[in-house]
Amino acid sequence: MGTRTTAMARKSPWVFHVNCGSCNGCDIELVATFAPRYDLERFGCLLVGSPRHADILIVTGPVTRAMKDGLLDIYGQVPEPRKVVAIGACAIGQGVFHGSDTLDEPLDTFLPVDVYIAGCPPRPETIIGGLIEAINA
Amino acid sequence: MPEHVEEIKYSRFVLPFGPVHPSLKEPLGVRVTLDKEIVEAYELSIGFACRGIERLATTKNLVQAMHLIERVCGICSSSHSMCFAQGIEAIGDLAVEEHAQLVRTLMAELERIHSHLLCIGITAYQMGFDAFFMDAFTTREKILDVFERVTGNRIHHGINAIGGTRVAVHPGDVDVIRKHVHDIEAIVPKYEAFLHEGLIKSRLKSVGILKKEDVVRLGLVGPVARASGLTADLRKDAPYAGYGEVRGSFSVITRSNGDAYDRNEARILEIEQSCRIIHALLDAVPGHIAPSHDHPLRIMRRVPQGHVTSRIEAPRGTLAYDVHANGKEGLDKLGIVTPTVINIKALDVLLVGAEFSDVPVIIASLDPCISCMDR
Repeated sequence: MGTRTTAMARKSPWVFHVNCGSCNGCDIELVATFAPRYDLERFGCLLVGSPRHADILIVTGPVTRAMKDGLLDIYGQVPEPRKVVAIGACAIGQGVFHGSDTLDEPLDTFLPVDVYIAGCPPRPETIIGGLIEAINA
Repeated sequence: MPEHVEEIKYSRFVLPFGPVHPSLKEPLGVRVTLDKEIVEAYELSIGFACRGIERLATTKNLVQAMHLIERVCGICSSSHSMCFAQGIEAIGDLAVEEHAQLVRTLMAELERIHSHLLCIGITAYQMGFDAFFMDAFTTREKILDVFERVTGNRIHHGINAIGGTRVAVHPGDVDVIRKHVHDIEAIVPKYEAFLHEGLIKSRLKSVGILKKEDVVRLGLVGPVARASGLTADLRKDAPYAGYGEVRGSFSVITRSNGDAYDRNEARILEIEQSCRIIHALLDAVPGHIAPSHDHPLRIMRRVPQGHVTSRIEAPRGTLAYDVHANGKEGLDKLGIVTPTVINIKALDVLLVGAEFSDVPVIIASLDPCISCMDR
């Protein structure tokens, strides 16, 4: 992971994942990233069950109206220093669902996004690369 | 204890399970009222992942709608596009080449295997058996390798197009698919042994029993219905795509108890049947045939105004598309009935009276897919 300069790079970065109306494609690739083939856990990255334990918040999906308040609530629970990673075309700019009545505005208009991981869905290698970038940024 | 302090007795307890919950990767809200450890009532809230796809599809033309419809669900994406394409082909009376039909069927069966592996893995994860979850995911990668080789993508394959498929299966691919399917067939007995293990049995046996009457009353579909003894499978009952040709090569798996154990056992046995279908399909796939030369946009212009209901057997059960084409390259209306939105009703029967610790296993045994359900 290069030189460990940032505060986050000096420890094991834990990850919390929120699905904000994703089609499951990104979510399943994220889980595959933590499964044996790619095994992100060998770098100390752990998918945790509570935002209060997390360093990195991963957002997938185009952020539906129903999930927006929940997402802001969860973001508030992640302790500083925190990073937000947007996975997939939907989280970056609503993707194929752009223009739908049930969506409000893209993720980066109301949350500071540190790393965008493009793809529909991105491959596990891309996700690993993006998370390393988030840790070192 | 001082006399003036009143002792409060908590007999009932309301516990929110979701919408964001560590054991659910998707937003589903289940609020359960507990009397000690027993679920007394539950309240389901859905719609957190609603992207308004049915409405959004009417603003696009048919080729664009295809891409949108693939993204109803990331797990059974080619089932959705296949069902929609079949609807459009029925309206336009478009002929589909035999090779394309076989490729569609092949993709659908591969998808069924990886969807069922995922469900069994998630069930094991809910029980705290992470090692098995990891094993199921490793096996699942074999299917994703096949998808990547044949279509170029791991998740959204974009294989189905109106009037055929985007790519053909090459003779070189056939051997690779066969090898991977053989590997999976060799692993499946291990998964059956997993179910026979005492600890797993005690967590799944007699948990979440669905009687056949309830299945019929609620109109449940797919492996959930078949695990309760209902023999209903569109692949046998109303063969579509290439299933007519391989009809004799597989049997419909049914179980009789209808508990979480049977639902998972039915899925594992269905993986075996899917492997058989794939072998039969690969025997039938003729040499490399280039996909139809007609451009999708040209085909799209030939689709007249019309209405058709298209049904297929997706991994989770009967999937229906109500397609209203407007004759001007677009859609007047689109209705999607997914198996998950039907099967989630089973919670009415299953949750009330269950122990709270069984709730995650019961939900997982229905194989919920929230993105399909909310659309």
